[in-house]
Amino acid sequence: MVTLAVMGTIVAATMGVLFSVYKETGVVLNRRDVLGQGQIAMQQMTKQFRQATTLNSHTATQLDVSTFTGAGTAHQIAWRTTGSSAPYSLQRQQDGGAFITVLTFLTSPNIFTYTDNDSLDANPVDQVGIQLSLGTSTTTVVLRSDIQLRNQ
Amino acid sequence: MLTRLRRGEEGFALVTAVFILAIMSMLLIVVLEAGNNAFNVAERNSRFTRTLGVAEAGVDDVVTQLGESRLSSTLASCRIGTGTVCAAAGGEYQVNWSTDVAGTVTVTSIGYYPSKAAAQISREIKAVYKPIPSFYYAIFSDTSINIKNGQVVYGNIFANQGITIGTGAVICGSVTSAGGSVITQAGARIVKSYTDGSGRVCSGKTGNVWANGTIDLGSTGVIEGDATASAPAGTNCAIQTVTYAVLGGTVQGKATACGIITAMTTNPSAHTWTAPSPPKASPTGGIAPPYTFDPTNYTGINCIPISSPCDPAQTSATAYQVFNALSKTNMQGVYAVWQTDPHCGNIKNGASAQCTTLDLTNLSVGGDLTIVTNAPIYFGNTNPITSTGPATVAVVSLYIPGASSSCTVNGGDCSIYGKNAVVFDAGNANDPNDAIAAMVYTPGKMAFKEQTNAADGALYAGSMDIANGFGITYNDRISSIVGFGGSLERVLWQEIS
Repeated sequence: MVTLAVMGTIVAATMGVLFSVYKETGVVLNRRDVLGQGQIAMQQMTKQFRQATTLNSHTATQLDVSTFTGAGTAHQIAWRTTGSSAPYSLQRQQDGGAFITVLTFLTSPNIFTYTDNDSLDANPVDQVGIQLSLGTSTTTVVLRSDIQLRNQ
Repeated sequence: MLTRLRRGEEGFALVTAVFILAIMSMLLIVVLEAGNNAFNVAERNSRFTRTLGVAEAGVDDVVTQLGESRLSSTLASCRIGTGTVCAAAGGEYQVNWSTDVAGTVTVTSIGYYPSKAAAQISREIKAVYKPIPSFYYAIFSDTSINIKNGQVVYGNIFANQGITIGTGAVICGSVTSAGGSVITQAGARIVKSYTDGSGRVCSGKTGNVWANGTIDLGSTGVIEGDATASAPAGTNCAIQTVTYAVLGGTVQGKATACGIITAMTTNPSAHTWTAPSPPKASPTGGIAPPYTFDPTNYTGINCIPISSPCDPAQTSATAYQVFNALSKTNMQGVYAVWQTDPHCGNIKNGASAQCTTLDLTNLSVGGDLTIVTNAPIYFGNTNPITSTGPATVAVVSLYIPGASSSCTVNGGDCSIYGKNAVVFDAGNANDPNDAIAAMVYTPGKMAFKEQTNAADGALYAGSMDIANGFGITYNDRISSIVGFGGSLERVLWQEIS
């Protein structure tokens, strides 16, 4: 009986630790997944916007550009956020095709900001700021990038 | 029995503890690995971005070197494909560039992290540079301009002296006389948009006229934009009448004059001084932009008489004959011809023994073509000048006849002269990117005799006589021809990898 009691206590404690660690592992994995997807999306956007030759339209929730992909093939690319409440989705469109959801963890739909560093030239936008507020299971992680448009 | 059982349970706590520790260790490893994985991803992203900076450092390095020479053969080190590299913060790079006949420079740079020999990440970028646009006018004259009756010009006109626009002529663009008056004859119009009988469309122009003198529209001249008759600094506009005035005709935009305004307009502003702006193309006169020959601007230059170095001071008495002996069929590339004692007693009858003239009779174009010479140029029986595809043609004569010499539609001592109809194939009238865009340039004298001369591009001359007409349509493909400005501007930037 004593042995059973001791074993029961040990097993209970072990299970408690196990569940606790498992839960924490889930948090870490969720954070990793969210961050990973956010970083991939951010990298795609920065590369495409950096090379943009034309800004077809731009708002806080949407940016449509003519740019290059791969080894220099010209394409129309649009990124937008959708949804009426958090979590919002980030979607991507190429050459007028259907929008494809890239990630679904956004806590804010307003991800784009624009700066005209040289008001004398004809280009209304010289720099694009991207802020992805990514909601993980426990907190919000913010990824931010400022992109100088090289072709503007 | 009980004693044996108790003895058999000894150490079970240690086994259990080891078991638990093993489980916890495994879980700890998983947690740490997950965290480490996220860190690795972030670190790799950071290196990827930083390597782009290394590649851009290579482009910046090339831009500096381009200021000295645009020939990639001068690149001493760090050339792509060689073993040498240049160091930049956080990595190494290799570069190269190429220059085409139009002066467009394409730079390629590859950045390596942390080094080329042990590269973990490499990024390649391409940047394209063109000469800063220098040509904004369809017709530019350092002296005066006469536009033929009924002629249609698609583009802006600039003259450092007076401009006369013939009866019924149409200018779809702006007209600027930096040192004289603008006179329109019956029915002449300066318009914002226009479509001719062939369907050629001109739109989005200002339709403005600006003169550092009087704008005289006769009774029926029309300006669809603004008319500005400015005056030199210090002019008392309050007492001016028909000088620096806007006279007759109709101004649909705002009319501003130092003198009086008799034109029909709903927005007059008489006796108002305006600064003489834009100023003359050059404060001391002269054609602008000026041309400067630099052999390093060109790749694969065909230089007559001496190729290396291609020096305008290295001339030959027979250079023009060497050039004239070349085939003019599907001509392309860059030709520089330096003639000893360039002259032409009478160019009216075309190339002759008395002239050191480059003869472009029967010219056709097989690609981008640049001809630069200190000798006169004669367009012979060239109707039309065809091309095998889109081509930019620059014809530059640096020959300046004596001040007292004459160059008219009937010939004379001209720098560039066309007797027969000179028609550069413009292709589709509304496609600016096809066929030939031509720049015909001389700081000397230019004249064309026939009435059917035509081209997409521009005419720039110290003085010109095109009173018999030249159907010119400005094409901004000629705006960035190399040699007319020292600077380059980046027109394209691409991440190849």
